Amino acid sequence: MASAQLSCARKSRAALAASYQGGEPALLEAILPLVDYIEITPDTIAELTHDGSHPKPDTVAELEDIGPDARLIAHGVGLSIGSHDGYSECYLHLLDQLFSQFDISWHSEHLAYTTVDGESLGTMLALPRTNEMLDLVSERVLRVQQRYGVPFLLENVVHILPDYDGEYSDAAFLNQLAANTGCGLILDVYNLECDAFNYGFDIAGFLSELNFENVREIHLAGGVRHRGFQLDVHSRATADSTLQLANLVLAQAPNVRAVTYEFLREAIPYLGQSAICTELTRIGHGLRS
Amino acid sequence: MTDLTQLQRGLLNLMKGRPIEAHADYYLQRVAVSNELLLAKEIALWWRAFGLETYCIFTSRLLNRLGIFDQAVETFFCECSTSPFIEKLSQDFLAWMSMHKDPLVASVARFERALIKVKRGDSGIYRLDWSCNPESLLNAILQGTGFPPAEIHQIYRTTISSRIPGLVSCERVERTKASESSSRVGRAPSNTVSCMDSRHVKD
Repeated sequence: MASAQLSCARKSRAALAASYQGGEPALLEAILPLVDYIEITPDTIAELTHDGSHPKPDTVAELEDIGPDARLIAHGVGLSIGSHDGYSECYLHLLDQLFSQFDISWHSEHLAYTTVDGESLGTMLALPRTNEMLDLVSERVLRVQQRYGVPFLLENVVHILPDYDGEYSDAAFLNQLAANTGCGLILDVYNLECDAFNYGFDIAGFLSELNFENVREIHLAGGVRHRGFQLDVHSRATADSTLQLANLVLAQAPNVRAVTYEFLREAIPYLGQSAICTELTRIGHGLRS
Repeated sequence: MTDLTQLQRGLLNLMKGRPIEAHADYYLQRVAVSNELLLAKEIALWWRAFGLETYCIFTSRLLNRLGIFDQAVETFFCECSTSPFIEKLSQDFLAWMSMHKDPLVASVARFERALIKVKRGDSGIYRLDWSCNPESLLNAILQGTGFPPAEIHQIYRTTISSRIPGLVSCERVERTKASESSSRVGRAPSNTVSCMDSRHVKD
């Protein structure tokens, strides 16, 4: 009984967040009463001009209008923190602009790389869990943290390609990275499910090894299957199994500040505004019940 | 070169459909023949195609109509260093398609590239000559209807500039006069629609 109450108390501390990429003011208006945080992706709300990338003015105006209704968190895709030749300064310049314009509670990135020698891979690849990579990423995390002075979180990504034999397990790599830098973690539980479906990733073993103290945010999403693979496309409502896994994590992770439902802008016409609101209500109810 | 550098360059080559070293390590060889690599490439191409279809409407629809869009995107992705920014990606793609062997494809790509540049604040003036009515042609591309015929005695000269209301103007010019005022780089009139000349007039 005491344990159940503790679990409920922990759950009640986690706020609800939703991704929003601009250009859908009616959707934003509809979801604002349901969430505590709006997650923006700097790369997605930016446009490239002759002097670099900048947040689109229309989207900036939309975000300014949010006012006190919700707080902002930034979740990037373009930092490419694990590229051997350096991370993206272009992304950081974009982030600089957002931090100068908005009060961003924390920001985050994927523990991955998207470019090699400046050339885009076209997708996001998981990092090899080696000492070389751990040292490289740790040093970069420290620099990013120093630059912005707000919490910086890193997210587990799906393993699209066959796993590279490294010196660490997935959980041990995350634990050590957080220990080296003090960074927080986003645990994307849908990504864990994708990995479990696609190549038999041992979620229970991973969770038993993970230091839950470092988990500050949980990501939820739903996707589709294609060619026998579960894809990380954020185009569907969250499956019951994903929500159950989130609750399992939430019950053990004392420092989670938000649970974020992510959906692609491209999926909005398919999902529909009403279904997105229903989904947020369902997730919020699950968190607070 | 570190193991990490070799690993990431090897995976980039695989993603781009380029050969890897014959003595590449076991991991890269394993990835090279995996279904997961096919999926990763498919995802990468899907995103590129989606962005280009959204941003380069005329050219992508024309390529789709000709049944060569997917192949064009794949070849572009594999041969060129692509940007994650759609603004740069689309300009690079259109510049690349502007050199296509089919003059119709090349013409539409040149037109769309100039139009997007001007829309985004470019101060240049771009001129393209067409052997058929370009408005009818572009409408046909959007609506999937038949292309207008090439005209023998006159050409259509489009000018694309931010100084023009609506950004594009078009005038009909007698072919003989047009020849005097322009050094043609396109083909002679034929039954196919082609852009006869495209020039960046001045900044």
